[in-house]
Amino acid sequence: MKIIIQDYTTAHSSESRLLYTALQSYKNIEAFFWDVQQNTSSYDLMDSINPDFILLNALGINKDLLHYFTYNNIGKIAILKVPNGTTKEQRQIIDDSEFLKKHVCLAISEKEMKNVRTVNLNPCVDINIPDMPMQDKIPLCIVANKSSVNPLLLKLSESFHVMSYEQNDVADIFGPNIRLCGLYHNYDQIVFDGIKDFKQPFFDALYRSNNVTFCSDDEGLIEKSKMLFGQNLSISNKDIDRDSLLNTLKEKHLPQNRVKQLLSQMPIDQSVFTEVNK
Amino acid sequence: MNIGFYINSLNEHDKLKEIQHELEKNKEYISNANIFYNAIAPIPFNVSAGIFHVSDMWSFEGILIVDRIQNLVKARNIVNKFKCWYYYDKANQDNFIDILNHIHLANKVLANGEQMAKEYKRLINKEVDCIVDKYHDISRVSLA
Repeated sequence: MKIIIQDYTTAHSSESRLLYTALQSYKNIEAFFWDVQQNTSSYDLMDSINPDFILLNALGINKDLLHYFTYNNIGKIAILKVPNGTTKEQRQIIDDSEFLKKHVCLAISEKEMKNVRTVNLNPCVDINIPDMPMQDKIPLCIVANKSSVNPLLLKLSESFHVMSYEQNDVADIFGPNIRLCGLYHNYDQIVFDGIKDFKQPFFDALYRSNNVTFCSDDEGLIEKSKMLFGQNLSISNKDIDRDSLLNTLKEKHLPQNRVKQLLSQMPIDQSVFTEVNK
Repeated sequence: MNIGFYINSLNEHDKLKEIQHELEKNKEYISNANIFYNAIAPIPFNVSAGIFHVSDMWSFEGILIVDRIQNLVKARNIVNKFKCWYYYDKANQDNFIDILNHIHLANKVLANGEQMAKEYKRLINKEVDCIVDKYHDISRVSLA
């Protein structure tokens, strides 16, 4: 089975990349990564690979691709990634589109789509991003979600860095998670300040640093933390079991888990993928 | 003593004025002063020091004060008999990861004022060796 994965890396997520790498571990799947920044011709790509499936960013489908699908009578081979944070109106447009009705067999979306089968892939650890060692460890990293930091966190240590995935006034360093992720292991403690949800950076930090917690007004986050990680990871909880947390991450939140979930929803012969990996 | 200042560009006039003020003030302690630069620019006032491109640094001996971490790395690649002091100021916009990874190349770390010393401690988790306000009495640090 051949599958093309269009890059839809964002500041918080490298889902397309981690799915691509995890798919490569299956001996009966040939995965191809489509880096849209390389300006590869959609026609050439489709003609040369002739994929069985193509995973596309719903907001990144270009005219060439539409044209190719329409005039080559391509069936339902598209898996559509509906980016998180897509507005209701945008989702409605996607849901009602001709492209979705004619060519999409599955949508990856955090919210249910009306006209197509939907799978919700939770964020997970991207195990492929290499560590970037620093000469010395720093006691604290505060991941700021907005242009201010909770003043109580600033008192936790005399030495700390403020990190953000978007440019803001308080960040010592900012950039997409795919760049900052390699730094997480250099900190003794990481606190995610003011988060509303657990996005991929939180999973990545948990996997790479020994003490990762969150600080948030959102009370529902504690319950969500227990549901996802089996523990309350709020900064107020002093009894976090690191070993058990790491086991939970390895059991439930690695790219292999998400790929299995994706494959299980695809219109394919499921028995092909129940065999042992390479 | 021989003292050298390695700055990025000769258009950093405020910095050059502070250096000139220091050279005038402590001229009895300074036997030889040099300023090294990466980028040339006109200087609209007199400076009591030799001014050389960084490529001429090989012949310098003494204490070299460097205010950018990339220049510290560059200076350390020049085999010579000088000591490098890193003069930290956040205004120079050095990336803290670069500082963390290369600060061991400096023989001493100085901060431009109390505020910068605190900032250095916050970012690098180490104390500076000395606090010097705007190059004021920097040439006396080695005597202390």
